Amino acid sequence: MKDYPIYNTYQTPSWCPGCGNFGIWYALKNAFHELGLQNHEITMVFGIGCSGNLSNFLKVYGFHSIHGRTLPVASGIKLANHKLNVIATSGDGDGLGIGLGHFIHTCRRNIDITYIIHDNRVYGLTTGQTSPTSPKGFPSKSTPFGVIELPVNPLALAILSGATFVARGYSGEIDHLSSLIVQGIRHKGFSVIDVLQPCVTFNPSYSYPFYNPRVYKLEDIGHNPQDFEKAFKLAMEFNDKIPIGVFYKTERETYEQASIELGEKPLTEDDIEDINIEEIFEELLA
Amino acid sequence: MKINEFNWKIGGEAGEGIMVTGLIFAKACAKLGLEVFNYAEYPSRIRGGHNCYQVKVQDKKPITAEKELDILVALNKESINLHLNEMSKDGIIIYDSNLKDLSINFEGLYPVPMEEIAIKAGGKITKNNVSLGVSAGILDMPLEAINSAVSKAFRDKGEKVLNMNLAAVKEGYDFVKQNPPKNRNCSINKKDFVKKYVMTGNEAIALGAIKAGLKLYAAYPMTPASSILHFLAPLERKYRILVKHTEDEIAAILTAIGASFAGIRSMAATSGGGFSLMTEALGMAGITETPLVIAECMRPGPSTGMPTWTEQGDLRFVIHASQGDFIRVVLTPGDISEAYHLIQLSFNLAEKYQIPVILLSDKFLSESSESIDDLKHLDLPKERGKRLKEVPQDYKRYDLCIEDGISWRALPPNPNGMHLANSDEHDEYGLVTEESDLRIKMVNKRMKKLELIKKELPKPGIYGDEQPPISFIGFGSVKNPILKAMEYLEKEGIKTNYLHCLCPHPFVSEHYISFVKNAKRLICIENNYSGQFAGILQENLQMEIKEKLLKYDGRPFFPDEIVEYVKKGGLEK
Repeated sequence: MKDYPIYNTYQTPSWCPGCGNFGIWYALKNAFHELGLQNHEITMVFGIGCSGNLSNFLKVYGFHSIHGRTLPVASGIKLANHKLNVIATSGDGDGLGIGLGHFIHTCRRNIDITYIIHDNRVYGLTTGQTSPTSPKGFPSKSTPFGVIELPVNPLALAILSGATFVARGYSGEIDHLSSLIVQGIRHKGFSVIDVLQPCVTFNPSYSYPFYNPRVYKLEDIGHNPQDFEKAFKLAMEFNDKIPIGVFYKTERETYEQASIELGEKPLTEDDIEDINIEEIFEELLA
Repeated sequence: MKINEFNWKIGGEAGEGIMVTGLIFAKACAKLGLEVFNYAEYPSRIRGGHNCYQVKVQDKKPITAEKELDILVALNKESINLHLNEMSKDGIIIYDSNLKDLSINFEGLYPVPMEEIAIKAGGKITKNNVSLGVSAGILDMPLEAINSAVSKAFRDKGEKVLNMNLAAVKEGYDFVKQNPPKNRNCSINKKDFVKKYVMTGNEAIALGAIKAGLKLYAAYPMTPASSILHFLAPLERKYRILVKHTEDEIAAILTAIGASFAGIRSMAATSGGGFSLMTEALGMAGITETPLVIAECMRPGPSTGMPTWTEQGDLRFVIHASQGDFIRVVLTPGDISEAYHLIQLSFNLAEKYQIPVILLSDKFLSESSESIDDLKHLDLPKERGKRLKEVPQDYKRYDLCIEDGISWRALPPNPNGMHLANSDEHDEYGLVTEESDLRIKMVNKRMKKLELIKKELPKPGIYGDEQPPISFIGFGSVKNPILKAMEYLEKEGIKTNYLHCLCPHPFVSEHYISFVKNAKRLICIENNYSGQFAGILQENLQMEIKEKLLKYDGRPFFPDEIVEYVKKGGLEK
């Protein structure tokens, strides 16, 4: 694994030693390098939580939004200038709890944004409460007797809701994750990459010793990502075997392509100095 | 006989096309060079329930909705029962002669076999237009004015439908000529067509926004803001405006913020409930110094309140919404012209000072329409603020060395412009900080723009006499009712003046102090329970506002109510 400090800011990561966020950080930088993207050619939107702190460690155009609200900000940026490479990241609590509605609607929209979920199955920055992806029965500070609800399945949701690139990575497999991010950014449409991201401090039972023996790569079993039904079945698989890789990939018109008013030229390039509204006035004539 | 001055109303069941018919009548009057003010009342449901649309017609402004009716077109019995007490003594009630058992004692009843005439003209559905013909007949109004407005309204429905409706108008008109009413108290003596626009407050907001260079509009439907969305959506391709109906108001404001961060002029609009959802993001625009324009069209609260009625109860809310200290500007237009002008100013202030600006309207302004001669003279040159064309090395988005606190913006993907727009407190690059000194410097940087902003805020309008015995003060849509009441008071020899606030926040005391100090008897008039604006005056001017005329029944002020209050010498004790 190589590192590309050109994408670093002056701040050093504040994550715990061994945190899965390091893997995602490295994988992103690797992906940027592989895609030949310079710092200014990347626009990223971050949420709140340990994942959101990534905003301080990447020298790009960044927007550190409020809790759960990365995708609408990212959508606004993309609609204003659809030539930008827009990447949004959030945690599982952030993006699948308070922000779950935006997630489903952005899938429907198929807007060309790459969305990375730092999925550690716990609330880390608030020191260990249950998250929407915590397994049933998970004991935490907010659920000392175990979670009663079933967990949210972000991959199955994404596939069903209309995302056109759905993958799972593992922050213990940086090169593999990096390749997923590259594919996600290259893909035209909404790309969802759920990342198994160990929280060594507040969720040690779902750390490297849990994931390492269980993860296997979908490309190794020859999975065809065009196969919707198989993709959905695989998305439901999370037990002794945990698949990582591209689950589902399809082509569908993006929101920007379908919005005829956008055309080729981004809205940011429009000259607004002299707008003639005479015709609308005419309509309002008595 | 009142010439060119009357109050006309049409009432019926929701779904009967009351609004369309009312607007046709208003446009016909405006076409003849008359001023019109159109006010609609309707329940929050699609079918059933009572709808009414009233058109005040006058020679000149000021003009507003008034209570006393000269002509009532009652499409059902309920309309007669509901509005009988609003009729002037010599007014006329036009109704279908097939309505039985009215048992109403009113001299000006004018039964017309409207349904029968409509069927003759081509179908029951043309009944509303029969009533337009009847109204024109009673008013001696040139039929061509109604025909012109009907033709415009039905132009997309095909020739057959149009002709049917024009025939209905003609038949209604002829009926009156053959069966003239015993009495009538008003008429129109205008014949020539003039160029006049009729538009609602929301249309003026939308128009002004387009003129200002709006490129993205994000909204979630909510009465009484939805008509901005409806107005803009069909125009999106022609004017290259991305109009996005988002999944909720939270997404609406954030989409607008994202778009603004990328460099375009964007806006979201909503009512109080939606604005409640937007509050967290409002503060994010504040701390990230991202320009943002929000239109908030008030309705009575709290909570769902009365969705289709009017109130000015969100003033304190928009001024204080969201945690922490940050600058926002609140502008409060009182009529169509001000709405068109102030939305343009909103975009300039937002971009120039990198702050959120809230344009505060209400149902009465947003959904009432008014005749307007021209608005172009109100257009503002665009001020885009500090946007870097070329970004220097070691660019600092939140540079603390800039004297006025307004640091330069770099827009993606401009080389060297990388920075973080951070909802956390941050350093000059936007990266998170919790350090005490830097925190203080950054808060001061953002807040020191305030003094500059204050210099640019619109001064209140002052109307009326010098040193009168009575002075009014208010903001927003109370403007027209107050100006009209002043005219009535003047006729009775009572001199008054009015300070019309266009920007209640940030509050610029110098704009108010001499008016308030010199007022002999000051009355603050507002559409809410607690006197929110009076409270703002009190806390900023350090003086008591003794008299408040408040109304919170969901209806706007009618000028008579203000006149009566003044003459009575205040509220009943």
